[in-house]
Amino acid sequence: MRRTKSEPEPGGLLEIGAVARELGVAPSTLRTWERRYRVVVPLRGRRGQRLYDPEQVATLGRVLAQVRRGARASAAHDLAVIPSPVRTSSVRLQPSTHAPLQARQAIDDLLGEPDNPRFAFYLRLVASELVKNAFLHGSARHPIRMDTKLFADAAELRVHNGGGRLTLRMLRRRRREGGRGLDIVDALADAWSIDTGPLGTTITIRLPVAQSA
Amino acid sequence: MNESLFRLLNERLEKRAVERGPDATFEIVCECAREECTVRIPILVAEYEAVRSEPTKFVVVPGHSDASVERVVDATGGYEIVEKLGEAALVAEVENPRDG
Repeated sequence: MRRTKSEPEPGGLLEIGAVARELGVAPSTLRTWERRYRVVVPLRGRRGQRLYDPEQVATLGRVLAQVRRGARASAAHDLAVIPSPVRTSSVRLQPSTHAPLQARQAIDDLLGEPDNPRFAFYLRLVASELVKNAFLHGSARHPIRMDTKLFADAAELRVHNGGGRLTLRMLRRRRREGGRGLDIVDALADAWSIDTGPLGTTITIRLPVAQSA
Repeated sequence: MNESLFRLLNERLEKRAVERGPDATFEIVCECAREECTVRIPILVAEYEAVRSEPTKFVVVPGHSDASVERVVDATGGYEIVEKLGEAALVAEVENPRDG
C-alpha cells in the first residue's frame, strides 16, 4: 500500500513536508539548516527521504522560536537544545543548625551510589555551605529551599532563602571575612550567580563532574 | 580520603591568594578526616606552602588529629600540622595534587 507524502511514517516519524507545514516554514529552510548548521539531522527512510521524530520536530520548533526572536540559526540551535537533567530533587529545610546536614543527606539521596566519590564529596560540601549560609543570613521564618539538577556532566544547585535583599556591600564584607561558604563555592563551581531581592536570595551554582575527577 | 579532597580544595583557595604574595593570609578548610568539618584556619601563603611541600603533611584545627593514622609534628596557636603514618601516608602521596 502506498502512503501519501504527508502521511506519518510508522513510529510517529514525519517527512519534511509535514514538518515544514507544522512549523510554517519552507522545506528548503529545514534542508538549509541541516546542511549549513547541522540543526537537527533527520533519519532517512528507504527512499532516502528525511524522517523527523517528535523530539526533532520539537527541537526545530524551539529553534524557529529563537530565530523569530532574532537569533541566528546557528546560535539558535545551541539555545534550543536544552540538556535534560538525569535526576532532580527539591527539598525544603527548616532554618536550623540541622539544615546543612539535611542538605548533605538530600544530595546523598539524589546521587544514590555515586560513580564519582569526589564529585559527591564536593557537591555535598557546596550544598551544606550554601544552606549554612542561608540559615545564618536568611529569614528564620521561611524554609530554605534547595533544588538540585543532576546532568551527565555537571550538577546545578539552587538554594533559596527568604529575608531581605543581600547588598553588594554585605557580600564583599562576607568575602573579606572568609566568604562564609562563598569562597568554597567560588573555588569549586565553574559558574555561580546570586539573585537577590526584598523577598529573599537565591544562589545558583554549577559544579562540573570533570573538575572533580 | 577526605583529607586529600580538602587539600585539593585548599590548593584552589591558595591559588587565589598567592598573587598577593607569600606574606598574604588566606583561609583554608581544616584538613581533618571528618567530612562535615569545614572550620576555617587563617594561614600565611608561605606557611601553607611549607606544609604542602611534603605530601604527607596536613593542616588541622587543634584537637582534630587522629592518632591512629597521623601524628602532630608542629603546632601554632591556630592550627596543628599532622603527618600521616603508614597506609594513610601512602594514600596521601598517591593523592598529592602536585605530583604530576
